[in-house]
Amino acid sequence: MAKIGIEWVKNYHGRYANLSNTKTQAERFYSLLPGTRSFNWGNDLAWDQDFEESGVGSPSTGTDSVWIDSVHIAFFSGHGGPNGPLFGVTNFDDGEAHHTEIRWGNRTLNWIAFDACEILRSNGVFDRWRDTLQGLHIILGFHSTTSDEAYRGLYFAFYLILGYTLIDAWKKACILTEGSNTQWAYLRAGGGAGVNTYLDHWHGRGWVSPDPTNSWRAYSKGSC
Amino acid sequence: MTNLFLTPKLPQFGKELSLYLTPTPKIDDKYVYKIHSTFGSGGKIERDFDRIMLRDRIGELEIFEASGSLWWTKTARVKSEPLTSIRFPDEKEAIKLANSYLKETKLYDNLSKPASVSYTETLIEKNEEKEIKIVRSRQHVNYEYFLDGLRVWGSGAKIQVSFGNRNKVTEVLKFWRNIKKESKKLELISPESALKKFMNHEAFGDLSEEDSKVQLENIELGYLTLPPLEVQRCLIPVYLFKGFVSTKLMPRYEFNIFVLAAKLPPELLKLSGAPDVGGQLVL
Repeated sequence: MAKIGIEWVKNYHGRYANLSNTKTQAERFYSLLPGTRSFNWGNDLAWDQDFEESGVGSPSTGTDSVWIDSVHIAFFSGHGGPNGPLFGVTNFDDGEAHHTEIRWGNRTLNWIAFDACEILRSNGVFDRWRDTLQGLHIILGFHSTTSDEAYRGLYFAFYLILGYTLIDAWKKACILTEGSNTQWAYLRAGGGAGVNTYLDHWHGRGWVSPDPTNSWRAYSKGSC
Repeated sequence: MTNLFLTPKLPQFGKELSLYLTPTPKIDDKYVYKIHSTFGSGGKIERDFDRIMLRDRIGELEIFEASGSLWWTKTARVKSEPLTSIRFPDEKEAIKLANSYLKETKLYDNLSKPASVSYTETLIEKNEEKEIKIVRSRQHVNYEYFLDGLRVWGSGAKIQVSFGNRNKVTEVLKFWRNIKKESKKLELISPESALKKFMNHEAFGDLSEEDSKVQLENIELGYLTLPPLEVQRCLIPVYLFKGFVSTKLMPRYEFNIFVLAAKLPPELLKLSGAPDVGGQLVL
């Protein structure tokens, strides 16, 4: 059974403005998508180190092999920026899962979705995220800012269940929840025998590609 | 607390605004087939959750029962992103094409206006090549909705027409609910009262006056819609507060916060779906 993990942050303790709908957003995704529900960490229990590789970066306190890279799909809802997702606490690390500290897919992770602003901003997207793709198939997110709304996670799971590809399900969920000024985006890795991450479906709902070698990457963005 | 906020002079919007009901859409099989034939497609009706779907070799039509909104997508049996760019018409011409397509398919709506032209772009990077390939594969004409000159916000109020090769329509969506203007008017809450509610929003609850600022840039009056999959039987009158928050770590976080702009009786509040919007809307 494929495994699912979510992290969300509403309370940012003054580091950034608080958010309202991240818990609902992530938990609706978590409740609807069929699979093994592995973890649901919110607010002060959502940490940047959960997303980071052990021994990489500074501070090098990453524990992704236990959390984000231990599930097949991960969903984060909170603040973000071009360098990565942002967290409300710094007790265990620095409160930012910076792309330089990330290596995803060298364990289990196939896909990660960011309900957060600008993580996939197009300028420099390959330079920032190229090395994070260590077997990961697709990062889903936004080129632009996005709104603090409550339905996207639900619709994303809904379309995955209906058998749409990861990419189409994400685009549909974004278009159904945003105005046309917002821009959805994804970054996927390619390369390797029999690999085609473009056609990836949720486990049990269609084709799932073998892990890509990351010899090439495709990034796409469009209006919601 | 008030030192945290930098606010412009508040605009005045009068004392009342119209109430728009959005009655339950009547969607029977005949209607669904009629819409689908507009796009030259056929197929058998399927129902899942709150969605009616028709799919054949030409395209896929989704109709959302809660709102009557529709989304048609041309079937594309592709195994990857397009690898060659398409030469699209200029933006003026694209709008002209989209308008005539909407009129031809009877989807044109006088309440909507073209707001922007945008593109789907793909960037491809290969390890052995220095150059990144950029492919522009779709052109989109995006429409926004207005009622009585006021903007209607939310994903439940938009039209998008997408063009591919040789200006062929590849996708069209019309997210909207049929409206009924009531003779009864709604009494507006003053912008001053709305501002007080805005300032108490949980987004700003933990910000410190010493190193944070909330810069309010603009206040507009309009209506808010829910996503097309959600039940909403009346448009929500709202003020939109736009601006940005600066903190030590993030110099600019842009926000759009809606505040209920009229006194709605409890039954209308329930019908509007406002309680389901969550923190993006202050009641």
